[in-house]
Amino acid sequence: MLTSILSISLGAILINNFIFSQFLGCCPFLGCSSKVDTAVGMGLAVTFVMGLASAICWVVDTYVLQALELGFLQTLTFILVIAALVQFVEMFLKKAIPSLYSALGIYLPLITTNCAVLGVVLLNVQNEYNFLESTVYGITGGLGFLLAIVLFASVRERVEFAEYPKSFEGFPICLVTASLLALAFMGFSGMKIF
Amino acid sequence: MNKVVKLSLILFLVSAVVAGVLGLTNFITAEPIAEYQAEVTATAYGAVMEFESYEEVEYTGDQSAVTKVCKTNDGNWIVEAEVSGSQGMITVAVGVNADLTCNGISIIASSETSGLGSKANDDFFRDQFPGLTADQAKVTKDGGSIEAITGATITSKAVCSAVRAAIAAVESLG
Amino acid sequence: MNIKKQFKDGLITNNPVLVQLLGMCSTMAITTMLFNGIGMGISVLVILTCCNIVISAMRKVIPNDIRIAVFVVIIAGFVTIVDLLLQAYIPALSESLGVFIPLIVVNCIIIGRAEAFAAKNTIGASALDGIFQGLGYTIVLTIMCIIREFFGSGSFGKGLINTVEGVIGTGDGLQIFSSEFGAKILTMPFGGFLTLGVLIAAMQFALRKSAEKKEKEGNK
Repeated sequence: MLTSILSISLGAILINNFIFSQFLGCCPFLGCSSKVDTAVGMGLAVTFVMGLASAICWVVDTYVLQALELGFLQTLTFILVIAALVQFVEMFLKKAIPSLYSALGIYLPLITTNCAVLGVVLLNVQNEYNFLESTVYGITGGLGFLLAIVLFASVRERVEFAEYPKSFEGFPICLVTASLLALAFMGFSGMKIF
Repeated sequence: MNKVVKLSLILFLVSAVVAGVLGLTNFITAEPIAEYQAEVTATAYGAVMEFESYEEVEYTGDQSAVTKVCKTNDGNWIVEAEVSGSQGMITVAVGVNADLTCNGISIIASSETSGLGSKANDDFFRDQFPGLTADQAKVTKDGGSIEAITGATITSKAVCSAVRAAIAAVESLG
Repeated sequence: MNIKKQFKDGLITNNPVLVQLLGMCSTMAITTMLFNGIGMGISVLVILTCCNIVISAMRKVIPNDIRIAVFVVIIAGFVTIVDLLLQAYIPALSESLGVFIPLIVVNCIIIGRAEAFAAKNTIGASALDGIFQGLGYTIVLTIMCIIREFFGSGSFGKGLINTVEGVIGTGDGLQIFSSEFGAKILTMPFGGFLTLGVLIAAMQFALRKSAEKKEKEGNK
């Protein structure tokens, strides 16, 4: 049990990092990474929602969709659950923890269309994880996203002072930077705990 | 409040219509999908073992990778095992002879990088397995006799571990 | 609406991937071989066109407050239909694209075009927009696939060419040079980021050159 949790966590954070090896969540990764502060905010918000969404969607999938043999409604149900969840979290944070809301608030609506969130939920189903494994995969997947986006934002802050060809201005140089980070993360591939 | 009710009603209506259309599509496609999956399994089983008929045997042993065990009419075994490769899970069908040697392997499903891990289904790799015992089903680096796929050592090792798990499962069932 | 302008917008000047920078995840993830790229491109094209038509037809009845939710439901519906059809009739493609088919739901191209175009224009124009934007997306995917497949594994059209008994997804493709000499790294995530980066840079270069040329002609 413990080893499976450990290997899922290590896998989600380093070996099969959501950004650098599975390409899930690239839009916010490229869009919200110009400053380290925003990157941390976005990363935390994503981790929070991914953990919650994994837990809730597992329950919905197991006790509603599988039980009623409505597997073909998975995508539709999951995206609705995620959208409702994001709305709910936003309202809850606004009332209960205003300080956290002011820190994460602006990123929350963007998360609905983050493919890392829908991706993790679909992967949980595909890999047939149980409740605990799904939740752990969601949270650690989010942590992997956080790690990736913070690393990337720190590099980007420096890239601003670098000289590069004019055609690479804006997105292209970011993508080239990201490719080098992906190369670094390839070093983790094949690591295993049994 | 009235507005909220009206909005939810509209959203519910749209969702209901979409769900209805999906139900219809599912009704049409369910059969071809099931047929295809049965065909994949049948082809894989046929590739790893010769048999006239087989029946599924319940397996509750401690080989966590093993997902399904079948016994053929000749007393040989077909085992499905799921192992993690370099990027995702690989499902392998392993034919195991009654004398605990491997009769052949076939990849049922894998989510490995196309062109690398998927080479595990190439003849050059698969043809190395027939006749091996559990101890020999390792890549050469680990002291076995399997030559790993160039650039996909992790996938090769994963497939070997599936074979070993399958043989161990059959051994425990005797 | 001007068809010619829409065509040019979708394919070049307002290309969804290279200029609007939408739908990056799938663009980088699945472009390892031509078969995937064309399959994904056509799936998105079909879904985008259908969604644009339906959303445009319903644009006057959808209440403004919940429009995004309604869009998402409609998109999820079409995506699931395509997903089920692929599983049933082109299983090889479905297996090779895997989780990225259901993930078309959150592909920003579709929701982006629904919000920016279909919700404001007539059915005909929206349908054309769907087709042209989808084509623009498909072309970028195709280019990336050809580059990555050729340099990465030395082949062309794996799964599409030399098929066994005409079943899509079984072919070996044309092996132009031995895959052992390919830069395998290009088929890995690193190659996805790099190839797209270089392609966008090339696009920016071309757009800048043509703008400069126009300016010169204007000065004369």
